[in-house]
Amino acid sequence: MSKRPAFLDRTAIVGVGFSDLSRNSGRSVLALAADAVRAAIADAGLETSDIDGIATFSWQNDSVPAQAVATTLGVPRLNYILDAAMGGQAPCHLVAQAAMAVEAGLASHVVVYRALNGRSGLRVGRVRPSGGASNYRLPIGLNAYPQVIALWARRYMIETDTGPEDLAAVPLSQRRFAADNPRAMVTRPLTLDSYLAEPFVADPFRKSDCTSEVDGACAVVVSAADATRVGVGAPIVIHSAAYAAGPQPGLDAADCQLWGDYTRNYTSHLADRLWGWSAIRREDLDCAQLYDCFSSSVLLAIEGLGLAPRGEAADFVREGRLPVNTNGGLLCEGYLHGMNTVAEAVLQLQGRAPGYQVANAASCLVTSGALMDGSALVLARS
Amino acid sequence: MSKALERPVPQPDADDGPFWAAAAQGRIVVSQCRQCWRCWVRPTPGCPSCGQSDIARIDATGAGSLYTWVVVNRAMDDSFADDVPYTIVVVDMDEGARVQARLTDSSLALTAGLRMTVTPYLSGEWHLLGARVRREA
Repeated sequence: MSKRPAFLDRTAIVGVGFSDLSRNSGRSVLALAADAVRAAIADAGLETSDIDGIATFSWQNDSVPAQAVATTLGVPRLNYILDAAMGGQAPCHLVAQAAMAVEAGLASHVVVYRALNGRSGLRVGRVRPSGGASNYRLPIGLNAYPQVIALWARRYMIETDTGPEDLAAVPLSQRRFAADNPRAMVTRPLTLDSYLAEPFVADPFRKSDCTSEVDGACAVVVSAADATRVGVGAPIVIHSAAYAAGPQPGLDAADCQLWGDYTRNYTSHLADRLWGWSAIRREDLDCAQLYDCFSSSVLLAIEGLGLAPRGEAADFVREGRLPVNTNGGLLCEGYLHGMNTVAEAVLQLQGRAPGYQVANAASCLVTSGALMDGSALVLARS
Repeated sequence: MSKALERPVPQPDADDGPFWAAAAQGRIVVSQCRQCWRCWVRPTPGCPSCGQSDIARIDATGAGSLYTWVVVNRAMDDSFADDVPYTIVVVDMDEGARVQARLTDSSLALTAGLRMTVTPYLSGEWHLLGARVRREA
């Protein structure tokens, strides 16, 4: 195990902000980003003039760069900036990058945001990316993430001898949480029978296995754990953090032709570091927010991070051994590419979840990503 | 659902131009590392296993085994709306290269490990990667 990074336990997420979430915002991505960032700064008990760093990510140019947000909000100067061309692997990673910048003294308060018109604008399932290995997917009709990740889900089901009712465990559990979340886009009740009656989108995935595209933005503020401020919520300490790309992660974010094992994703590659740096053990967790663009990625994360033995992730979810995706997840709250997954973890630990609240939650695992690379955090109430 | 939208076609670059040229001749040409003998499909300037750049191109037999598949029931790209349902397979070719291909004969049920033949099929003006269940002689 390499040396524990210095920023761990010394940095914290101190504020969370959302724009309105909708299926047709009628607003620019910049306006949505500004709403979420303003809200996060106020939530942190800071002024815009306190912000001196911004980190964000976008996929196929579906967002606005950090400098545009700085300009729109009248941030007087930036000492740190990061615009990552990444998808859902990014949120935990960018929080860690922001924390590193704070710890290193490059910046004092860094906002991390994700903003997009993901439903009314550039829909992730409808974009035709070029370059990388897209020549080997798009022309044959392997056009979108539900199809790519369905390839993984089927192989997982084959190797673990699991079935549709096991995939269903994820949307069934999360839909119950979503019913209590006023921000959730998808709240109608779901039963196993109604799930099984849904037509396939990309077999083995049905509609309820797939995230709900949304227009909106989410932001968090990262500061020193002991920063002087009067925020709405307690600082939530970044206790452990890791990013991993496994061997041969591909030429682009959906290129899995070189990946050897579709039943194990990046979580299997970062687990040793994440837990090795964490005094909070798996069995100590109070909740987990696991990136869920599609249902199967929750199962792979549960097993990759060692929360349940191989093939038992669905039982883990079904039996409620740990509250997972307490906002309904990306499946139900909406696809802000996992930025809202981080936000839900913070809100749980601050005791102010919008819906279901885990009693006295003190620690939470968060992941970002579903395929070859991704990132994770262990967050804790100080 | 039909629309005028044209289908995506390969946009070869300097690395994978020869792959598509060979496919147009009915051949599946895979990259093979001259140092570690790893084989792979999408040409890259270095070996994904060992990183060195001395890479051969060899003709694959097209024989392989089914690793996984997806049945696309709803077209995400409208230009495929008339094709649904269709199946994309992932085949591990005997040379060791993993490849994604369009299932061109859907008359047989799929199971993991099923022997497959990968061969180019004509789609518009392009020869794309197709696969069918191998009927053993």
